[in-house]
Amino acid sequence: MRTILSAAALCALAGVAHAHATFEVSEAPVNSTYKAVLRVPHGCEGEATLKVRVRIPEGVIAVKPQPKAGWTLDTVKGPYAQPYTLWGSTVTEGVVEIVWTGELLDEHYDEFVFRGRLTDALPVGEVLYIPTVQECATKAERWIEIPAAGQNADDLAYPAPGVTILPASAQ
Amino acid sequence: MILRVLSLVALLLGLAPAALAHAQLRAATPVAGAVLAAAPAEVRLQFNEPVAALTFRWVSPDGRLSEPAVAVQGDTVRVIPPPDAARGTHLLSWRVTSADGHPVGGTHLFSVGAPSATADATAAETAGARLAAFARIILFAGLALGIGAAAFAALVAPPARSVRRLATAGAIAVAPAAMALTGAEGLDRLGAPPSRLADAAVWAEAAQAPASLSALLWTLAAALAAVALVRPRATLGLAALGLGALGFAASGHAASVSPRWLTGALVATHAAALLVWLGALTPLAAALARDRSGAAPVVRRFAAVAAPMLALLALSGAALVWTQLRAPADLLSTGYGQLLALKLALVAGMLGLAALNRFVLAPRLTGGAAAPMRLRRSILVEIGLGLAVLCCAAAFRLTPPPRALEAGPAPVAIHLHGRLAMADLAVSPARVGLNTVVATVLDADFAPLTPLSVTVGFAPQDGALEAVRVEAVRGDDGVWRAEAVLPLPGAWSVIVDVLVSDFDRERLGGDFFVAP
Repeated sequence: MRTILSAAALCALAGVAHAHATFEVSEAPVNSTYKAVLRVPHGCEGEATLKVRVRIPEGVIAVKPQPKAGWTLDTVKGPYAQPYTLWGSTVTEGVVEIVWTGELLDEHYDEFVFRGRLTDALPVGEVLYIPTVQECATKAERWIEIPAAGQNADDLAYPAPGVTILPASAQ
Repeated sequence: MILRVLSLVALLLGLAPAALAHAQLRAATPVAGAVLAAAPAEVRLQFNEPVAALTFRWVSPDGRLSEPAVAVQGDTVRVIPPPDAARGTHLLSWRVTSADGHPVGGTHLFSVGAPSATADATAAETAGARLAAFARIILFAGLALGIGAAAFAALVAPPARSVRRLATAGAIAVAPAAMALTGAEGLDRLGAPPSRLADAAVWAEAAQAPASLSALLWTLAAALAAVALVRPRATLGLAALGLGALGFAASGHAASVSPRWLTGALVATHAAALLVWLGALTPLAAALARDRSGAAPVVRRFAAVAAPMLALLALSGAALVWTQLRAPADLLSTGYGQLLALKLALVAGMLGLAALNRFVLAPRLTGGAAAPMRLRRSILVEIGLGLAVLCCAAAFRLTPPPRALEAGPAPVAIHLHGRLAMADLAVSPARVGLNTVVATVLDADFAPLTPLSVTVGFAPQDGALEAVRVEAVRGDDGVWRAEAVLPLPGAWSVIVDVLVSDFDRERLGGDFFVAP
């Protein structure tokens, strides 16, 4: 019974969270490849979204965005702050930003997909925030706020979409 | 078990409706910042989706807060302005909720005729300020009677019983007058009408006012004086005099000029000398009426005390005038100066009478039967002038000194420090009305920083209004500036959003106080 109640409470919160740009799957185990489906619910106060930009945080490597029909896909590559080991080889650089350029009307909804490796440098049990920006003709929606200690993401007007890092055994 | 919960949650998350979004304001009529020829019949707010009204508050140009009538039709909210929408800047604070249940709020500002001017220092006269000035007249008279008689008993001679009774009544009147003064200060600071005197917020505000400390000291001093009048003891009377004088130094225009220790000491000296002088007049008049032959030694003893007192009074008064005026012309050209000039003229009259009493009438006291009556009449006139002087002193509260006009209202400086950036803010004049915010933004290591944008938000801490948000503009000097109308006095929070890069925003917050 308690399980259902707490699940219902979380669901109510989840409903609120959907007002923002979010990931479809909100948790993933460490040391796994995560498929991020970014959901963009609306434009910038009525304006159509012309660009979706995602900044890859440190600790997420080997990022590959999925091309999207009607959208131009660009990536920005750069060095990582520390070297990572992937399948026995050392990785020191990779995609640090993804940019989709196209058009998404305010009254429409769309999803943007990329994959990346969640390395064991990420703290287990915490939420990994991936700042995302929607750029429109004259405005921007910046989903870049990260809750401070003791603060809830629901208290923020524009929280960055996040994924909770689970222990590896939960796979 | 935990896994089952998590998977259930994940399932529910997937099922939760994805199309929900916060309500967003799309359009407003009149548009934000508009200056209209006449008051609008309604204010129309249009949102991107159907909303429900939560809280709507209207702030009129005079700072009056009201709850306007609101009609919601789908995505449009129509707000009916208060019936007597006056010229000046109006602010509408709105809070709505939409399908996702997440409340969204904002403020909408427009002007009728012309935007309200910033409340300036000369417009400080409110109902609270007038009540405070009236309370001060009662207070000063009570103090002069009570403490003056106690000091007279300590320094000159025990006063007559009738004088002791009058003086005790005066001392007792100090407590309620001090209470009224405290409440009036609270009203004045909040700009609230006297009808809100029972409001706890007014008294919480009053506790912050320096005048409250004065009121407390005066109440204690008057209590000591009352005891000293019933059980005559010189130390008690002098302690009452000292405490009463300290009360004058604890607040007011004159005592707030730096260096405060010096101006405070000058004010205390001035007040002590004045209390001794004015307080002695009633006992002297009574002594002359009661016992004509015995009055001569009393008058002589008083003359010995009065000479140094008058010297202290004149010296401290002159020094205080010098700190408050910029030039002699201020005596006639400013309200404060005119009041001061009137007070000086009255004091000059009192000094003239005192000199007449001391050098002409008092030496003749032993001469004939008519002499004591003439001296007594002269002293009664002096008492009348003294009361007028007290009224002037109380009315200083209503007019700012030229020194304050020259300096202008002091801006509030706030330093905000974050992980990525810090900001030095100056909010001026930090009074109700239009305020200017100047922000110098640096990175966390004090190095210059050029952020992509700086947004400043203001919100009253009691939650009476939604946040007022303004976008700052970067000047050629690299300093960010913005203007915002802060419609209510009291404690406000300021939030500065510094967009350091496309993906990094630092949110800095602080508190400050908006004067009425």
